[in-house]
Amino acid sequence: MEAIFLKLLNMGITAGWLALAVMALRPLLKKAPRWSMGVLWAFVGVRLVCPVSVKSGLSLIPSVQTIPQDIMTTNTPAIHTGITAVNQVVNPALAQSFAPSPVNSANPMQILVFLGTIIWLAGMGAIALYTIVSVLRLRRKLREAVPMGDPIWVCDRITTPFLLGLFHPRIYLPSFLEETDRTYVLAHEKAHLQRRDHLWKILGFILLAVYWFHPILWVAYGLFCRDIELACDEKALKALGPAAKKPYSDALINCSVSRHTIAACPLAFGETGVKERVKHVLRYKKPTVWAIGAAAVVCLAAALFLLTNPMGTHIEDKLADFLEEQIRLHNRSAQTGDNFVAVDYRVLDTETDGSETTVYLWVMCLEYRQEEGALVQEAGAHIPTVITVQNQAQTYHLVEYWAPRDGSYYTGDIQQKFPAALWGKALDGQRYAGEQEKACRAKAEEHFSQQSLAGQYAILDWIYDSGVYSSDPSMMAGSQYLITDNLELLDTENENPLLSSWHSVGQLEQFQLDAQNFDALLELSPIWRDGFSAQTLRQDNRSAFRLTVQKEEDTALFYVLQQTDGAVYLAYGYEDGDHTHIRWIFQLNQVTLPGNVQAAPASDASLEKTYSFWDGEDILHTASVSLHDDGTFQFEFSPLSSYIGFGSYRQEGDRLILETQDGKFTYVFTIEQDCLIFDGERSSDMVWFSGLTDGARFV
Amino acid sequence: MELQMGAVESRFADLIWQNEPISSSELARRSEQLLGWKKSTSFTVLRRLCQKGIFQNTDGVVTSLLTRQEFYAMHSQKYVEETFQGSLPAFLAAFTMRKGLTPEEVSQLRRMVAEYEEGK
Repeated sequence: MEAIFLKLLNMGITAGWLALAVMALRPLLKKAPRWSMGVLWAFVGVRLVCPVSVKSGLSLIPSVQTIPQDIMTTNTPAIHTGITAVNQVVNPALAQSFAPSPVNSANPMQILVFLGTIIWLAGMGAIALYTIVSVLRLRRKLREAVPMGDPIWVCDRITTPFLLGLFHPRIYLPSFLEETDRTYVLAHEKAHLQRRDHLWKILGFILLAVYWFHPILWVAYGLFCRDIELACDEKALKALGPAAKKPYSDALINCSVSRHTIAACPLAFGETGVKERVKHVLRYKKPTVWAIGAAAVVCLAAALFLLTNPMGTHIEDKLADFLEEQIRLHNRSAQTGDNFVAVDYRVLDTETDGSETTVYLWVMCLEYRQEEGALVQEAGAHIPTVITVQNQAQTYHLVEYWAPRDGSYYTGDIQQKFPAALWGKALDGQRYAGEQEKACRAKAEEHFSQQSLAGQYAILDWIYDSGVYSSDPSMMAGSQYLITDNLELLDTENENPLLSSWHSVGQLEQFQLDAQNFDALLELSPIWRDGFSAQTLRQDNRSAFRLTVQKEEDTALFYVLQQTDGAVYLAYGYEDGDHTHIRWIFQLNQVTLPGNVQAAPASDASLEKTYSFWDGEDILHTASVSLHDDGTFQFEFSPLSSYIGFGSYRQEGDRLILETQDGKFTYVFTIEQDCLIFDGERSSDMVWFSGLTDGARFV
Repeated sequence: MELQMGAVESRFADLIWQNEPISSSELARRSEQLLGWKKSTSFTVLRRLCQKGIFQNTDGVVTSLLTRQEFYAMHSQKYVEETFQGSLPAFLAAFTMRKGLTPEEVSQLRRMVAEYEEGK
């Protein structure tokens, strides 16, 4: 039942968009024949009834699945309205308030949907009951009606003429109706009969009863009822001729004077219905060919733009990640060494069938490497692809990865696999090629820029001082920083990082420098080193990264600026609403990696020296062993580890054995000329973080 | 209580005035012929007219308390104004859709219609 409710919610939201569009079109169609409004309202009805629709790139409907069917089970409940601004406002709140927590047994979203379903069912029941009771009451009164020639009946106990019945509708007239008015009233009611309005109105009412929770549809129903009357007046007048305008209007007014209030339609908004109708009747002229043509065009356009569904080009983040991973896996042919495979894809459409989702894509995979700072493209593929995945328990599994065969098979394969509506796009290789290549290049640039930022830095000098603090920026001299491949910033206060430990400051996030987030933070009473200014720093910036960290009462702010000339600056300041400011900017100097630093030339026979290891990839995968001439050693596993092993070492043949002071750990190396080879099998296990493996080479 | 009758009711009342005294079952049979009413409907209307003090039903025999002339002398209005208890179901393709126009609005509308001339 909840599934039906969610489906209806989505259909209601979709139809709501359409209803709003129809309301907007209504004033434009004032001069057009009123049946055109009927057609437009019928579209709204179709949307409310029919769960499927043709997909079209022209569709203006923002989203057909605003509320995902899995909202009850997902960890991060979110809606997809198709309007980014709305999503951005609503979704964080949803995630915060309704995300399942391990503490509570029930998922709050599940409870919400369950309650919603109950309320919805109760509302429908109430409306059904109300309707049945009022129909029965009316029928009891109509038992006193007497026939006046098929299908007209006269009754004392009604105050307004109307049409009632599904299969054999009867026209009921109040007995007080004057003979003169009767002709026009009957003409109107017969026009209703011919237009089958009694059926349309019942259909509309049933839909309203199902979607009773939708405020837009209540308004839409009111307008729909009014448009039915206006269209019916037009039809009646067409039959009666223009001379009937005045008496027809009189009959309209007579039927609405001074009788007791009767809500023939719960949405009778005051008396404006009659006013509007009288005016409409008096103004009525036979519509010109132009007006009819224009109305037809509007209806056709509405069908094209609003009755069709948007292409399923939106996919959730989790699926996007999965697709990228799969594409990478299937295109890693010549991927070698430092090459970076940039993946970009355009979703042409998605189809969901139960737990299976099929995504139609244009995939571009380009391999890049960096040569002297410039990007070089090595290999590439651009190919229409169909990926079918299965979603089970919130994880995706690959069902099929399909790409067309080359050569003469290519076109046929695509036409067989892609739905006909997508052939044009799937066969047009040029359509996305340009923008996809750009996207791939941007990804590669980002990748290499981030990679090249990784390294160990020391403060070279300060270039900016806010001037409001007494302490001198030179007190920071000697501080060192480490930026890892995945952009974690670490710091240490000791000049020699091997004698101290690194502390993680936080995760750097890339952002775009602008005057607001940079220049504005440098406006206190600044002291700049010659040649530096906020503008020049910003103009020469290639990429900027930031992080904030809570330090006691302050929120410390770090910016790392990577300039086009390769220089790296570190800005340090405080985040405090309007008072956010930067205190210092330092120029950083990349220091050589420990693996190279320590490789001092060795004296022949002696083992005394510091041996360093670096796996050549991850800056954290460094370690060093220092052998001292007094027979002691010092073993550092990793910049991340504050543990340093101390103890004594001894040599057994070509084997070097290190034993820690506490006797807990033993480390064994094989001595090879000027280096030590780590013997993982004979050593204790505790070499965490270091990335040390058997055979690791310490030079 | 105001003495009023609708056009249909008055035809039923005429049946009584013309045939009184008449047994209630005979009245029901005749109104079935004349008006197409079911028995129960006739009894409902009869009960209502009795409550208004126009007729009386004593042991299944219906007689009038007011003659036809007396009744019509007492009021000029020809129809019953009766409110619906509750409202008509929403889906009725009613001729009008309204919530009582105010007298000013009615006269304004009437003026508008009266002043209307074709082609203007």
